[in-house]
Amino acid sequence: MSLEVGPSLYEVAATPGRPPERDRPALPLLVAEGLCVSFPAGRGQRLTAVEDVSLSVSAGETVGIVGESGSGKSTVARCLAGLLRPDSGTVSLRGELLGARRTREQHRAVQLVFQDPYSSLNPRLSVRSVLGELLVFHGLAKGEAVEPRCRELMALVGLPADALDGYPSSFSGGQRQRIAIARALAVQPQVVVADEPISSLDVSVQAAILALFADLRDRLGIGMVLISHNLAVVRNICDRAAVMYLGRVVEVGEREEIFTDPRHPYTRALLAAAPRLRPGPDGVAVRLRGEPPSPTARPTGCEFHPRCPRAEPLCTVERPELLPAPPGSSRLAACHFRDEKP
Amino acid sequence: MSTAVLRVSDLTVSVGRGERRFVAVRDVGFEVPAGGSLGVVGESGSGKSLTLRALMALLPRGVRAERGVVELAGEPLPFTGPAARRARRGRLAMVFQDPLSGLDPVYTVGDQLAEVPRRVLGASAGASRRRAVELLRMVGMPDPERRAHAFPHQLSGGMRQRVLIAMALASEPKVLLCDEPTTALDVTVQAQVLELLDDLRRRLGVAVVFVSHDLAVVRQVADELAVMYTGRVVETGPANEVLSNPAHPYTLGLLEAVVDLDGTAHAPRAIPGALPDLAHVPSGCPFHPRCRFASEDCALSDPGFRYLGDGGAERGTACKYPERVMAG
Amino acid sequence: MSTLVEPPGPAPVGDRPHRSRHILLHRARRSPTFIIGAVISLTLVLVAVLAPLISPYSPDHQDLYNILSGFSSNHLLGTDQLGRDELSRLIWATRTDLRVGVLAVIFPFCFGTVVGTLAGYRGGWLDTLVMRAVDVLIAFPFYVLVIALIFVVGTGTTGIYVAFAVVDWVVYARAVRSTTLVVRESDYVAAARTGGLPVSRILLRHVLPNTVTQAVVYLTNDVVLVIVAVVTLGYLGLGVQPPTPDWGTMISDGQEFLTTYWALSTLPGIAVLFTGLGLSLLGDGLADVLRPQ
Repeated sequence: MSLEVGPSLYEVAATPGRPPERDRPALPLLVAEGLCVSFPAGRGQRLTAVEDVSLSVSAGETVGIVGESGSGKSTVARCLAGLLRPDSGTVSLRGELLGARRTREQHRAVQLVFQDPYSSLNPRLSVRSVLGELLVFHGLAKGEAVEPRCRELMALVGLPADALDGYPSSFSGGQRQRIAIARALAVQPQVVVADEPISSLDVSVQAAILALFADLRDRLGIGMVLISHNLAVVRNICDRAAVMYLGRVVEVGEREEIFTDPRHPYTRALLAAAPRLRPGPDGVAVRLRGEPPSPTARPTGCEFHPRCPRAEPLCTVERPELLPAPPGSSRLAACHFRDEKP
Repeated sequence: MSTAVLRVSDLTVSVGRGERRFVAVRDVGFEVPAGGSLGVVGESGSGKSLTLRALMALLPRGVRAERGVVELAGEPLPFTGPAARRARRGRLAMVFQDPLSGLDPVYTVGDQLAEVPRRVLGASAGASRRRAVELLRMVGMPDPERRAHAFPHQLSGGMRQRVLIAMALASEPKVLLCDEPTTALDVTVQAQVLELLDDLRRRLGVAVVFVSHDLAVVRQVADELAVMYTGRVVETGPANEVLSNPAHPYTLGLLEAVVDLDGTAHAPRAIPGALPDLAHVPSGCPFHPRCRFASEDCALSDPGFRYLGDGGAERGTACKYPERVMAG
Repeated sequence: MSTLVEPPGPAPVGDRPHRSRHILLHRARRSPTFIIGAVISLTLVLVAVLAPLISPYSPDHQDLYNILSGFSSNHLLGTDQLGRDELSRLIWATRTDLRVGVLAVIFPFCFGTVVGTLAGYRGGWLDTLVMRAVDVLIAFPFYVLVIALIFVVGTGTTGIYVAFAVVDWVVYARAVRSTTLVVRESDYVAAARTGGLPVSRILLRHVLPNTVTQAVVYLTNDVVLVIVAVVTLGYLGLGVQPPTPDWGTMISDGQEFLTTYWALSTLPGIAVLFTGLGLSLLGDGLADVLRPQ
């Protein structure tokens, strides 16, 4: 199969770099408040995966959740999408509380894109079946109208119409991810939650999928929650970011603030540890000691203190609240020393 | 270069038999100076992992090294047979990607580490145990005496990876081959392990070959870089030179596609087209269908590999027109 | 404004091979187990279906002047103690036993698959209930249960159907349940749930197609077991009743002549062997072909 390669076909979509400033609508679309999730961990113990996490996403906004393994970010994603019921806390859509069982319309509103493109598509269903099923079930298209709508979806994610006939096994990772995005968009969601959507893809393909997300967000005005362990990706596409550690949000704020003026030692450590292409100003390389503790044996006080280069005795007893830093700003940090500059 | 501790040339590995046979690694060659570090970068299908396995004579069934010369400190290493393993013992060692499957779950970490001094170097049981603890300490394992009695599943991912590194170092090799050792690790842990590798390299004088798909990670560890595409080496050279001024369109494409933390002057840009099926690699230069600098003759003939001789460090490229890439 | 369009290029290496209907046929053709098994099974089915046409005599036709005769041109495989043609009886017994065997597994297959799917997907009390029932039934020796049930219900084919319906569904339930547990956690099922699809639809379109292959492969092996069981019951006089020809009763009838006219018992035995082999190979071959790649 020869590849028709014309430079015009591969223009990058509008702006995976710096999204233009948009008027943020006052009313957030999806709001999570005080989410707490724990799982039974054998022998009567409970594993706290998420503790008191609050988040909001507005239309056309992309919020990033950054964290390493054990941070609880995927659990938050599943709560937002209605796959998991939190032990306590609420998720609201446009002010309407979403109960334990969501209605059809409520389900439509929040969609999920998964990490592994090789297991997120039903191997026995063709692309057309997957999309068609959702369209028909939700009454978004009927009979004759289904096929054109499927084609529209394919075009929206940059796949040719004949991809509809294919089964997942005949597509590459990047193509499968596009199909997964099409599936999420089929029901016309208001918020798309993407859980590590590009980390399983080859480098040369990642940029394309990222650009696709940015493009769709700008064109369709949906809200997006992007979960990633990769800071570079979050900086590239998100308007705001929240950093999670061991189930809690430790810092949250506008993108540039977080990346240029981090106020939590964990955020600083993440930034220092992230590999960069260009030799940066190495300066003080904040290297964390040790590894994230087991969530069943949570440290006292501030849970980060065993690894924190800034820790003091206060940190072992008193857990810092998520408070504005500097005072009055929208950025929050959960550190006793939040007012110190890095 | 007479100081090269590892020299590979014309390494070719094929997969499959008869009709379904295809070449996964073609004419790969590179050199690693003693105590130096080489980063091998490529995406899926680039052949980077197979190359390492061929070097270690660990190719799976159905995969064969057709030809090639691998020299360790000047001495050629055989690819097959018991002689292959013997020749590599104590000279070449590998750190695998997945620490969970690289360690035997039924033995303690200490036992597994002690096995190498015992069986390979002929040490006594007591000396082997002491050596095991020493190795754990060397790789930065906290509380090594106690940890030696732990089973792999009781350790975290980062610690397991340290154990794998310790196991590789146990045989006191001259060259350490690392196959994506940090891919499965968290960012902060990855940084620790990379620092460890660098530190060990300096302290022990062991050369490191580090395979990864992540350009930024490789930059942390490697002095030299080799970029692979569809089984071939398409560019070599000092790492910072290759990354700042690539001489092959694929390297340039990779650099442009990477989403970098420090914000980029341009938006990340995917390489057009898709990775070809190794059984149907395009004619001539395998990258030409996706290359924006390609001319007609790029499809007609194999560009081979040549060195850009202009004094100074050696840059090599498999592009016929590297000047086009280096200019813009 | 333009989105990155990805041309449908060839899938990169490391990807799964093309898997459409064609690949299944392709793999089927290259699996010797499947081919041999299919050939044997098909032959048996043809014999069973065409019995009225290919059988030289009626299986009940008694020729009392010609009892216990050896192989001859009139009776290729001889006659039994009532002068009935052995070949014809074998052919008709194939028809009987195959029919009973296949019919007897249908209910267990369907019921077991449904119950296993529900138990695996829902979990909770339903799962516990089903699994305890499975444990109890499996704990009993198969034949003890079957024979007990036949004594209750009565001999003959009805007895067989009922007995297997009660006893045989458990293996399907267990196999399907474990696959369902895995599929339940998959991302595409999660996607179906976020898509708002109701459980019934998720089970039918997303879970079952991915779990039922296990059950189907087991089915082919189970048919063998059931046929052997039917034959055994016939041998014990508890299965298919005379005069309907059945390998089991044939073996039992020919027992007393084992030293003199060994063909009467041996030939049906070989037929059972042949059937079992064919179906087992078919099952193995199917497992190969349907294996997720």
